[in-house]
Parts: sequence; structure tokens; C-alpha cells
Amino acid sequence: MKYPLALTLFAVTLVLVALGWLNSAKASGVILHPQATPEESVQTLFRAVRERNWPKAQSQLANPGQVDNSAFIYDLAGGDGSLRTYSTLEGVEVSVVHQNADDALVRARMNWSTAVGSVSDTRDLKMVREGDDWKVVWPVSQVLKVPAQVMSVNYLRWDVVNRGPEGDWGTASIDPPKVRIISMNAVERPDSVIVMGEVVNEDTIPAYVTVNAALIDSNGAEFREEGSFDKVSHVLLPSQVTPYRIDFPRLRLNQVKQVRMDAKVAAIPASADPVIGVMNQRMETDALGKKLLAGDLVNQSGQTVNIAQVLATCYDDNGKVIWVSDGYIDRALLPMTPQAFAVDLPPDVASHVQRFRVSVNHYTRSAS
Amino acid sequence: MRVIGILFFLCSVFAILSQAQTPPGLRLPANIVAGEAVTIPSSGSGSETFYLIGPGRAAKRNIQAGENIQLSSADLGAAGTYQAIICSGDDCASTSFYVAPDRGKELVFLVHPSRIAVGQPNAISAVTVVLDRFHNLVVQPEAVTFRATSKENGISSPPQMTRNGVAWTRLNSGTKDGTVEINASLGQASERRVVQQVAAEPCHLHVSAEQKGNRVVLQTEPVRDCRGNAVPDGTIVTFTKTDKLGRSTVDAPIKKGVARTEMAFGGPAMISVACGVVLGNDIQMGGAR
Repeated sequence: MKYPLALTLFAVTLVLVALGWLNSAKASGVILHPQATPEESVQTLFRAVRERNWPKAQSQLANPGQVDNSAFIYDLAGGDGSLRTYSTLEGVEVSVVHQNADDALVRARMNWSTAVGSVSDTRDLKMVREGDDWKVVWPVSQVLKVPAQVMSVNYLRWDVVNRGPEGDWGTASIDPPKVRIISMNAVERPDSVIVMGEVVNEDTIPAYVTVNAALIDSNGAEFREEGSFDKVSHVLLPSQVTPYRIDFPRLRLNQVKQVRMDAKVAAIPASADPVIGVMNQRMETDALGKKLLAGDLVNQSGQTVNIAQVLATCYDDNGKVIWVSDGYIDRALLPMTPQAFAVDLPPDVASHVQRFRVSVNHYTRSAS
Repeated sequence: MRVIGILFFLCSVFAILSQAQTPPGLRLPANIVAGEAVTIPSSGSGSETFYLIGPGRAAKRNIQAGENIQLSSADLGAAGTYQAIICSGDDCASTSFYVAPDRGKELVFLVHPSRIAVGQPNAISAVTVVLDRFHNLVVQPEAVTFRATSKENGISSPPQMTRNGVAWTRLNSGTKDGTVEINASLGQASERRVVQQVAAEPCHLHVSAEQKGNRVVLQTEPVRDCRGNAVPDGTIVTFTKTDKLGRSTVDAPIKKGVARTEMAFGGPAMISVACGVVLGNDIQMGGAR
């Protein structure tokens, strides 16, 4: 044999090149061998979703003929200026709930990175085996189609006319709306102290409200201050009540002697519309055993609400606020179309909840 | 005796020194009012410099000793203590004088709040500050009259004398909603402010329900307070329906005096209504208990 070393090196090089090509193909989603598991098939589907490669995503479906192309994209990419349109799929946690030879049920928890933080969406997907491959039976959405109609709306709106900086001293100006903090409760959680309660607008004009809490230590010194940020309905119409929640991370309640509350209030231009109903509110337990406060939002106006946020207030049997939870809805609220929502409740809180109240914050892109 | 003697000596020294400060040529009128032109006669001969230092103003003039010094109304517009200094070479002498504010000419009028519920005692505060034509605070007493006028009636207070330039009063809000005009007047000067009187908490909140197919229309009767005033539009009324599917709530604003909403109806339900802390009637629909 001449050149044995050269031949050996050539053969090894060929093997390594082949291995490298196989790995790179797998990384880019090229299927070189049949998918062996339902998890891999779901991961491939959502990888295509992340890349917004809709033809490839639909090729992973077992029922592409039944799923409307635009409805599939609307379901995963969102539309109508909803929160989902400002979101990116960060990752998917997949687990098999059960599996037979020809079908399986897979739970996929999609973690979306959105403009207002992380939002997760958990779905149970049916899988069927097709040859050596697994395909997803995508649920055919039954969206309620509202008949074409003209909705008459008597818009009610408040505008504020300010005198500007040149206003004379002593001339009449607009008094800020009268807003009152009607309850406050400070509770200790494993990793934080949470101050929560409710605020009511007792005036006859809309109010813009921000609630702040300052913590006082045993020496009477103020050592922490936080605001309610988005865990409050900032715009309060007359007689409207909003919960608020202020989190103080990495703190124990025994470090706090006193809480000083402060509601900053200003008159603000506002509209009384749209009205959003919160229907069929109920406590339930999801497939993972978590306690949820669930229901449906119904936009009762003829205007699409792009982004909605649910604020849930939970009371104990004495009427004391024991928890405030919130959640963003990543679907737009179309006129008269129910949109499901669910917010988490800690298990120890859920067992004490006797009554709850859900209110809705909303953002409409066309509104000023 | 020794102490009294020392005090007498010191007082004498201060008296001599203060007389030395007053230039012999400056003879100021006893009472000067803001905005009045004043003539100060001077004596002596030669060229002198006159300085006038007052609140927010300072002036310097070259004068001939023995001529009258003219101070215009603009020179003495601001009330307060002035200092007049006259210098001849390096030799200066000064005197202080007080310019009193003129008679009241303008009013600054502060009324609070701008919105008030009806039937509130002493709820409206009206404060006026009297200024002269140069915007000096008029500290001498002036008679101010307050008047409140609503669509039903008008009430005037007896003239009130200002104290240190300020007069105030407190008013009850009326029994009917609408605007109330509050005037403060001083001679020809008058200032007007408007306070919005609004309905108090709703009274006898009542809802009716009408089933239309698989929906139920809920509507309140005109929402009024206990005096019959319409609760302002935009006030939130909360409708609640409890049935086998759970609890449904709608926060609906009052529009044109009534609040209205629609909900799905799928069987026996209990319906209630609330506005703020006021609860309305309950309705049982479809045999709900």
C-alpha cells in the first residue's frame, strides 16, 4: 500500500464533513430523517412560527385543508394592532401529556416576549402519526362572526381647557378631581412585600391617578418608595373604582413600621367609551393545577380595542382586599366578540377568596 | 443712677447721629400715597446728586441745590419704605420715608372648589385680596361685598371690611345642580367666578330588565340624587348578573341620564345594580333564587 496515511486522513475528512453537514441541516430545520417524536414535530412547527415561515408551519399540520390560512396566521401572529403583533416568540416548552402508537396529546407553553413583558400561552395540541412523522391537528377556530351592522354610539367625552403658563395668579383654574384611597393592605409574600387596595374617583370628571407608597422604618425614616406603574387603572371615570398593587421586592414585612400612601391626581381629557363587559367570571383550576380567575371580555362598542389589560381584585370574607392580579390580553377585542381571559392566583390566596371584581384597562390605537 | 446716666448719654448720641443723617435740605411730606407725585424742596447751593431707593426701583439724578426735586407718580408707584439720599461730593445724608398703598382698585378673587355637590354646608370658600391701581396690597380696611347668584336666586352678603388686605366668606352649596356665580365687588371693581354644583350620591337607583331572545337589556331609570338632581353623565353604574356560568359585570357610564347595557341570557339569573356606594334593586330572571 502506498500512501496509507494520506488515504486514512482523506477518509476521516470525508466522514467529518458529512457529520458537519448533517448537523447544520438539522439546525436549519431540514429534515434528513423521519421525526421520531411528537415533541420534535411541535418544536419544528413553532420554529417555523418564530421565523414567520407560515408555509413551512402549515406543512406540519395534519389538517391544513380545514385550517384557514389567514386565520392560522391571525391566531399565531395576531392582528388588529393587538399585543401579539408587538410580540416575538422566545421559546416553547413542550411536554407530552399522553402518547399512543398513532396519536398523542402534547402541551406547548409558548413564551412570548411582548412590549409589556413576558406573556405565556399554553395550548394542548393533538398529534397524529402520519407514516414516520407526527403532525399537529390544529384546532379550527370558531370565531363568532358579528353580522354587519351600524352601531349608534352616543360618545361622551371630557376635554380640559387650561389657561396656560400666562394665566394670572388668582384666576379660577380646574380643581383636580377628588379621588380617595378607600382601602390598603400590606401583605408579605415569599420574596416581597405587596401593598394593595382600591381607589375611587368621587368627583364628576375623569381623573388621572397614580398611586405611590413609601415605607417607613422603625426610626421613622422613609427607606423605600414605589409606584403602582401598570397595576392600576390610571384613568378613572366618575364613581369608578380601581385596584392598585405596589410591589416591594426583596423585603420583609417586619422591616416596615408604617406605609405612607399618596395618590397623585390630575384632570384629564377622557372618553366614556368603549364599554367592556366582563362576563362569566369564575374561579377554576387549569390542566397544570393552577388556580385561575377566568372569564370573557366583551367589547360593547363598535370600535376595536387593540390592547386590553385585566385587573382582578380578590376579597376575603370581611371584604378586605387580599390580592390584586393582572394580565394582558394579547388579542384585540373586536366589537361584540367575546375574548377569553385568565389571571393566575397564588394557591394560598385562592383558598381565602370569597369575592372578586374584575376591571379592564384598554388601549385603542385610533384614540388620542 | 449710673446706669440711667449711661442710657441717657447713649440716647443723646443716637439722637445727634440721626439728625446728622437727615439732610437739612430734604423735607418730605408726612403722608405719601403710592402714585402721588411729590415735590421735595431742597436748600443750599452747588451741584448735588439725589438717589431714590425703593421697593423694586432705584433712581439717580443730578440736581442743583436749592431747586425742588420732583418725584413722579411712576417713581412712587410701589408701596413700602423708600430711602432718599442726597450727596454733595463725598458728603452724603439720607432719610427714609414710607409710601402707603392707594385706595383699593382691583380684586384678586379665589374661589374653591370649582365643583361641589349640592347641599353641602360651608363648602364654598371665597377669598378676595384688595390691590390698588399699582398692584400694591391695600392694608387699610376696605368694604367688599360678596354675591352668589344661581338660576333660582341671588344672595348678597353685607359689606365686609378687609383685614390686612384680605376678606373672605364661606357659602353653602345650593339644593339644585347647575352653576352658581360668585361675585366680589369693591366700588366699581368686580370679579366673577363660577362654581359647578353637581348632584350628590344617587338615590333610589332602579334597574329594569327586558329579555330579547338570548340577550337581556338592562337599563336604569333616570339616575337622580335625593333632591331630584340628575347625576352627571359619565358616572359609572355597575350592572351585575350572576348565573350558572358565573358572574358578569359591566361598568356602564350614564348617558343622557340613564345607564344601559346588554348581556347574554342563558337561564335563571340574578341581576343587581350599584353606583359608587349606592346599591339599587335586585331582579330575579328566569326563576332564579
